[in-house]
Amino acid sequence: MLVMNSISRIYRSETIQTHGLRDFSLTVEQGEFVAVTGPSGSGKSTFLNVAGLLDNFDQGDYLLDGISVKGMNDTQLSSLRNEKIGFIFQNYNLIPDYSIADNVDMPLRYRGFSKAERKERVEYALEKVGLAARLDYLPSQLSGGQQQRVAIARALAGSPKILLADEPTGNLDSLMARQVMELLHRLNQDGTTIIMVTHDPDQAREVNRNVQIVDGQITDAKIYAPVEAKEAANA
Amino acid sequence: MLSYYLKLALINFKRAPSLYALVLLTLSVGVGLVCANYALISVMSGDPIPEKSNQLFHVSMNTWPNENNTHGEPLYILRYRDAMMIEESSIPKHSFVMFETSAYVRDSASASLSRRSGKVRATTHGFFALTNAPFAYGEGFSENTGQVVVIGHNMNQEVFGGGNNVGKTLEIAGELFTVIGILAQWDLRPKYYHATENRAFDQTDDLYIPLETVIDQNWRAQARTSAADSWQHMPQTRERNVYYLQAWVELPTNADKAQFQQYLDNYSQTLKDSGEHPLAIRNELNDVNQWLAKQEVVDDKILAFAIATALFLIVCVFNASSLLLSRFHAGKFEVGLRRAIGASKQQVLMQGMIESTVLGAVISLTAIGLSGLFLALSIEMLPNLRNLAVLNANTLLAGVLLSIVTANLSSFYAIYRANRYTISAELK
Repeated sequence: MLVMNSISRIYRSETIQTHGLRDFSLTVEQGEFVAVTGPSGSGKSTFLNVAGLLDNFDQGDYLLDGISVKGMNDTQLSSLRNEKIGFIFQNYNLIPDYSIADNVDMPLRYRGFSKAERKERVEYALEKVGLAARLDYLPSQLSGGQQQRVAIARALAGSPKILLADEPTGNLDSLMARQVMELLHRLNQDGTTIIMVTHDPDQAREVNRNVQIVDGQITDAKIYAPVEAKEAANA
Repeated sequence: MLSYYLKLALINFKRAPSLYALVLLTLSVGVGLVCANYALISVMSGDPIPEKSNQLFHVSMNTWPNENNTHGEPLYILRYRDAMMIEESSIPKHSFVMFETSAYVRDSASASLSRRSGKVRATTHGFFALTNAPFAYGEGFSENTGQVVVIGHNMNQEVFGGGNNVGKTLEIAGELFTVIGILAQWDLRPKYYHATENRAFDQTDDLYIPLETVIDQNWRAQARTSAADSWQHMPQTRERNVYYLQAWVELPTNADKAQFQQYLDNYSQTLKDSGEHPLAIRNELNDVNQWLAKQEVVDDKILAFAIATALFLIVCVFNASSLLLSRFHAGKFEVGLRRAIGASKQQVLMQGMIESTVLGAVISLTAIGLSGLFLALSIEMLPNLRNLAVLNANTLLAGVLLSIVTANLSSFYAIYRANRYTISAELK
């Protein structure tokens, strides 16, 4: 699904070069749920931006769903982003004066779907996150957890191959965070590949694979043992 | 996507109505001023008879009878016998000689004795065919004599209240004239056939009367007149060196023009040979646009004002651009989000341009309204502009296009900047 091979991302200013990612290699298979952890400034967001085609890379190769993105122009990258990737942000990033339905509809507009298909997809996506009854609500009329579920519906509406989540529960209280995590697990069980950046070790333990990034490189692929393994060890 | 972009444009306008109102006002004032100025210039510099303006020639001749010619050479006014020489030529397809005068007019059948002043074009019969004068009723005269008259649309409205009044009788300067033709509304800008003496933007005439009749009635020319001989009555001008007639000829081909030029030069040579022509032979034929350029009908002050208004519009565009930049800066999160979920730079650009075009279309309405207001104010201050200050179809179209272009120019930098943002920098 996602193959990064020796990726480097270097940020240059007049006097210094900073390596956002350094000789970074990672393969994520279809259906995996990967948690990415690491200290602030380690390169997690750079990885997510490069993986999400929001940022370029300087060296290496990147195949997304078997397609090499190297050398693609903006239109090709935008189209690939629209079709293959769903983004879930920490701040939800909903447009406040659009209805829930219009927010979810946004990525579908750029795909060229018919009005009927867009309507069907919007309703299905909101159904999946349990908000089908709130199509005409404004984001401000929903709780934080509900807003994040709308953001997840927006990410899902285009049937992407992979979801990229950047601290999706970072702004939520524990109860709502739990609900969102359960939703993500359900989606993963339905076959959606998810890569989630998180600072929460417990959330990292919940998923079947985690990687730690430090100084732009993967330092430990098993830093947080899965919950089942931990329980087995304790027993 | 067009309907979606239109929907987004309307949503954006609702989000910041005050800011967009300021942009609208700023650009409307700039475009409105330019349009008002363009209206004046386009009327001044327009081709009044495009279908054959390159075939109609004003005749100027150098036939002053003595060496003491202080009038410049050649003269654009002709004496009667020179003018008749032109009339007699069979080379032009059509020709006419004429002068302007005025007379008081009333409907002879009216019980009222009140009269109104009318501008009279004393002309030979070729006038109507050469100028393509538009007839509503009747026809022009076929002789240069007779108590007949063709009246203009306004005169027909004022004296008879409109309609077909061919056959009725007018009392003009105390004489009875039969109406044989009535012109339709005729807005001739510039009025090329009498563009001298700053009359290029006068309205077309009220009355068209055969030349010989007017001379016989002793109605004096109310335009430039120069005389080398003394005279008292108009009929005397037929024989004397009195210059007051202007002549136009229609020469469809270059060969016709060359032949007619030769005809004029031969005539001058004949005068010279008989000792009546002490000056150099110099006869000129200027087509309509050459003649209007020579008369400098486009006022230099208007051209200077055009430059000033264009510069003002540029300032307005910069101001609007600055306002829109702040608007786009405030909305860069949304641009980043749209880019993240799959909008290409092209699509963001297109969305911005559609929004600017909608804004431009709204601006065009207020700008055209303001142009009308500016022109009305101009007429109020400078009544001479009354016949010039017209918003014609070309000006309206130019106003709409200019509004859309300036709105797009104003937002171009903002859209460019919005597209340059790093997508990920706006999203967390």
